[in-house]
Amino acid sequence: MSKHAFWKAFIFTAIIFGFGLILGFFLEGFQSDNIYSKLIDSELNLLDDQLTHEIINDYNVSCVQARVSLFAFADKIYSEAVELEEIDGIGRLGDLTVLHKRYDLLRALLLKESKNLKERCGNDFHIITYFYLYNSQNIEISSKQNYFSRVLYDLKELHSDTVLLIPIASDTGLSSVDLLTNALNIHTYPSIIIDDAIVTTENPTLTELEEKLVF
Amino acid sequence: MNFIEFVFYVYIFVTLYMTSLLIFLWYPNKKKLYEHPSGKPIPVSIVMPCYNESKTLVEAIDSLMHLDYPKEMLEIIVVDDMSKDNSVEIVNQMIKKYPGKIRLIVNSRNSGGAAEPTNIGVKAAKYDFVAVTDADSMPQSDALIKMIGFLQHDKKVAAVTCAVMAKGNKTFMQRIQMLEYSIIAWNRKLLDCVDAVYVTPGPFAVYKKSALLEVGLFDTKNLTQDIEIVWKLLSHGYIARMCLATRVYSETPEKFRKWWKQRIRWNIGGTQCIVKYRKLIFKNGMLGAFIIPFFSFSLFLGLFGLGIFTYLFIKRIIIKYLSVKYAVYGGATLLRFQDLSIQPTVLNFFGIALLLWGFVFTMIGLEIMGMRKKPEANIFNILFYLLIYLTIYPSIMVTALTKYIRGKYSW
Repeated sequence: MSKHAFWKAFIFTAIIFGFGLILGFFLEGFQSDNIYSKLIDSELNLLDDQLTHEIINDYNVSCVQARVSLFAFADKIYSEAVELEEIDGIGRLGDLTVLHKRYDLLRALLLKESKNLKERCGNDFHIITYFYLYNSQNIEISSKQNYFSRVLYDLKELHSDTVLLIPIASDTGLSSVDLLTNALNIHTYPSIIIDDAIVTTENPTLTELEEKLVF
Repeated sequence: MNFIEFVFYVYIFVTLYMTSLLIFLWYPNKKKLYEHPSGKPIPVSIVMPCYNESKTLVEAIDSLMHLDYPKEMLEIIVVDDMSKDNSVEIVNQMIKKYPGKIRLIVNSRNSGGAAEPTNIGVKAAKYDFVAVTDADSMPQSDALIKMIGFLQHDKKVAAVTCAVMAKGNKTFMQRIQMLEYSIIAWNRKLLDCVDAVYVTPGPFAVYKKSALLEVGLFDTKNLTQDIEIVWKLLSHGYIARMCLATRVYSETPEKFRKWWKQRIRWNIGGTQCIVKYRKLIFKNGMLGAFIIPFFSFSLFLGLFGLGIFTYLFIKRIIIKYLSVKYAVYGGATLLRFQDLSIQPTVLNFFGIALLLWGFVFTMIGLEIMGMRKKPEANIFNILFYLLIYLTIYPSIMVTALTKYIRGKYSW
């Protein structure tokens, strides 16, 4: 009789499984660290941008330079957000909510900075804010969000020089974002805001969105 | 980690545990797998239930008559269950071919299963040892002499099975079943190392007649009477053994539809056994400690896993469909580079590791069963078996359970 095999197999499985989990944490930690270092870099960039705008204000430095800097920063955190979405798929052991929140906070600050720049340096670009739900289990909302991110991605590709795209998750519990959505009277998700005016909560076509981009 | 991810990890753990258990049973016993106690020929009655088996009857009876066993110690009892074809005529021809060796009993009604004709045959058997065989199965010539020793050397052993191998290889389904049957036979022998043989399949098994009579013979209401009889024997303190040293070749379904029907029947039978013996869980030795929990847990995991998979799959399909529909309407890009990008997750790695582990496990099994160099055991067939064939099982379980609950099932 080999009845000890039951315990041996259990211990063996627990060791292998535990080893796999440790490797998994290591792998995910590596992925998260990568994003985290980018986040720190982006936070520094934002501080740098805020200082830049104050210098622009105080010393009348070129708005063009500030605009280029802001767009580059917005594009950078947009691509980082995409990367974060990719690693945040099913099967993760760890939770990335805190990382998402920090990015959302960063984007909320970016929105504020963009408005400041727009006021100070003139109305030659559009701020498109896309409010969505990070934790939605609703199929209709998930499908819409999937589409919204596609159509906004296309819009950004077509008008990269005049469109500043800022996606913000509204359900991560950030009081500043809650305040912002209340101020903008947003109760339906996903929602697209162009220059502080609600454009749509329904599925807009690319052409319809382009038509809104007038100065 | 959310609930669904947790469930996935449980599945991985259970799969890894079951395969590890079999490996831990195999390694210390690998030199003993083909051993069998030497048997002394004693009279044996061979019972062959038969229903519409005209195509295979001649070959099946011939194979019994060619067993390496003293012919004077054998009697063959064919019990016809009111066949609609010319099975009876064929048996009569075989009686003439082997005079004095074959008896034909025609059941007074069609019972709709193998249990009733088998019971009739067992009751009519002259001898104390009874072999039961299907009318489409051909045991190797050394089958009986190698199996009988198990019954003679241990009073507690009441049933012996051997390696059931798939006979035909005409169709793809049959070739995949050849792999499956080999792995099942190997696994069954490994379970024998812990007294956990839970079935003596119909193609060829030998029993002690006294034990069969004591437990009340085969259950005529069960669709897998060959599983139920072992559970019944185990519940009465007997054990079943597996002889890997010999084989019986059995016909397998050529087409998917027949295969599906057969597997539904097996699963309904398994469910009937779980329900019937549910009160013995965690009691009665290996039956309650391992076999019933193993069957129940497999059923639960299969159904639960299929439920979760279906939910996730349908949700994903609907979201993809709607977003593509919106994208077509809105003139947005249908496919972006990031849609194709796959970031490795821990589950991916576990999945790949499990597939590799399953592959190695299957290869070991095929090697032990002498199948590895057979053309049927090519990489494509093995991967199909692991990735597609085995994943159909939860669907079979759901269908079988539905039929069982609705009471709409028959042989």
